[in-house]
Amino acid sequence: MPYCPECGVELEQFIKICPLCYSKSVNEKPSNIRNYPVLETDEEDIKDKKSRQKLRRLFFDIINLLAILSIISIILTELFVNHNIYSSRYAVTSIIYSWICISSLLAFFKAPYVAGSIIVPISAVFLALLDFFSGKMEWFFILGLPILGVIAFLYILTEIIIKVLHLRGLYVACIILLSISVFCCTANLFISKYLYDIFYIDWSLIVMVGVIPLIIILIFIQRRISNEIRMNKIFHI
Amino acid sequence: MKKTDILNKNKIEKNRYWYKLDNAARVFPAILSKRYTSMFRLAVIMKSPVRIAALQFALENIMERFPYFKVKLKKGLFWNYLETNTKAPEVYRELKNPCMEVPGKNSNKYLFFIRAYNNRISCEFSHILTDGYGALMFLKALSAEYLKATGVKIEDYGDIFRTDSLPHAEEYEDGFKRYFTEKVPAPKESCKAFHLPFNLFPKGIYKVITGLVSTEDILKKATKYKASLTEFLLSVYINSFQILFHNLSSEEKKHCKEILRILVPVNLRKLYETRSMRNFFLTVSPELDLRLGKYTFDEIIKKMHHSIKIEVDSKHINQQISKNIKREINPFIRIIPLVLKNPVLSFLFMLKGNNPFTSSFSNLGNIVLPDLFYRYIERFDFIPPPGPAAKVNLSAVSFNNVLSLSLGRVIDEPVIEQLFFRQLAGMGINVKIHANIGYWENLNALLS
Repeated sequence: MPYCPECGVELEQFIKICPLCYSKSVNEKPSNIRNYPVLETDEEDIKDKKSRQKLRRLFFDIINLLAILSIISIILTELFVNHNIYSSRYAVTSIIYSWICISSLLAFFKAPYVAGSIIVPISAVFLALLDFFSGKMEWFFILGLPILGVIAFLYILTEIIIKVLHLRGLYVACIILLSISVFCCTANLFISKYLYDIFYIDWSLIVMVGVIPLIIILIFIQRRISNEIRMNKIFHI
Repeated sequence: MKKTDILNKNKIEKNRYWYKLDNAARVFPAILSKRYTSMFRLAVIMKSPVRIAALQFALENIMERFPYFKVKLKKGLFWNYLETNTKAPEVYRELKNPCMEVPGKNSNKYLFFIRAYNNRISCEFSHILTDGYGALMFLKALSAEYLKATGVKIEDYGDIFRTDSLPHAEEYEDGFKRYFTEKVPAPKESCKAFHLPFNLFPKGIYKVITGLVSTEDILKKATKYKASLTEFLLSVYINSFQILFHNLSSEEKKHCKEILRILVPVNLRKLYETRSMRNFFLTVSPELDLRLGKYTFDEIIKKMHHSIKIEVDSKHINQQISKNIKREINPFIRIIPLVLKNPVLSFLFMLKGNNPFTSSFSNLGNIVLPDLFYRYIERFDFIPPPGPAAKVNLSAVSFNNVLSLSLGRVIDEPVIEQLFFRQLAGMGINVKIHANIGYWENLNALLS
């Protein structure tokens, strides 16, 4: 009777290939049917997790130190040179904004929506402050807030599309590129409205013309890759 | 009740022209498609080649004994219903891919198909009509009548329905409505479970691998782990999904849920007294939460053993029956036309019938027949229905110390079958593998 040397099962007579693993059959029952591998315990996983946590904490501490030192040095420099700290407001605000963004991403890296719900309002406050520092609120409501809104909306939409359609590999890159080109179009519209008081697209067309062929190429490559990968290469069973 | 009253009631039932669908069957017409045919197969493998003429004769003879199966599906204004089919049933030729023929609505097609191939008589039933128990009783009666038609003299029928007996009134009843308790809260909802991250075959392809093992060997192994046969096989099955999950790339894992939940149908006739030949089953769903870590086989067996013991309980089952019946008898739901109900039923099935489950395992149990039948019947096979969400399903049936385990899949990768049977072989259990006729299509490069 034919047997599968890998699976250890008996096959139907005259069958040359095992239907489970597609290996060639042998005529004798394999003597060493290995005991199916027991899953490794969690100790290695826990060790890996702890070391990753330590690394994140270390990185967070470095960021904190850098931010504090930068702010102190900027303020002190301004104090000694210009005898006031008012001119350092842009730099200090930018450092604080960057620190909040990086800390949110580090703290909530497993929950991107939570990080996003902190970063988006903080970004709005940052842009408003930048506009406020210039003397009067000129561009925040007409330009800053709408563009920020478009970024947040496109980010959420991209995430939803990737999840619902179960996109993987280069398809994800295609969706991201598409979102970037849509963002460029909307930014172009808002900027042209702000500057020339009309809705007009110019430079974003060049972006789209460059992005669309790239998307097509990526889709083609991904389809070729998907067709060639076989499960046994991934599992090594 | 007087004997004459029972006979009169049976006569009335026998002459009925139409039947309502039972509670479990109501959703199936809304989701019927080439992806979800609702067909499952029960087959008997004889010791000699099947004679088609004798089988056709036997089939025509037994239909009067099963009038509730002699029906076709019709569309009503508010619900689908079953109408008596006057067309004679036929024996069909075997298909390359089992369980792939969709029973038609508003056509003269029966909701079951009898197929013959070499030594095998297969009955494919739609869940619109009945469950595994009903199909089994039909197949037993057909086998007995077939043997009679080939000249075998049968004296002892055991629990097999005889063609000269009248169907009991209880055989027509909807067991769910009989045991429905009104003031019982609904059970907790389950969250979405892990689904295999593989692409589906084109429609119409269903690959089945059947493994034959000695029932005695499996029972010995199960006893060693202090579990029943169902609990042991369920543990091996769910462990296959666990091993697969931990071998996925981190990118693939990101898109997958980390809960394995297997649907296990339970024959309610063992808990509630009824002779109903319609659907009368509910499901229990033991699960493994992979976020808690990797489970050893001993841990899995313990969890499956206790989950099943807790869930197969009349109070827990009552909750499910009550929830399902309340929806059916709700007056607001009843007056919605079928054309509007169908898309909603289809969506709810996807949400609550498909999403919360990784796969299913159906064990029909050990089939016992009178002694004479063992001379002519080699074994039984039971193939689960295909489904687009639970892309692989397992079913089991045992006869004469041969346990037949069938894994049906609608994806290309036979990973779960490989993991499942390798585990059994690795435990020292001898497994013999068969594949369906259509299995080797599109694998010509491998075969050459």
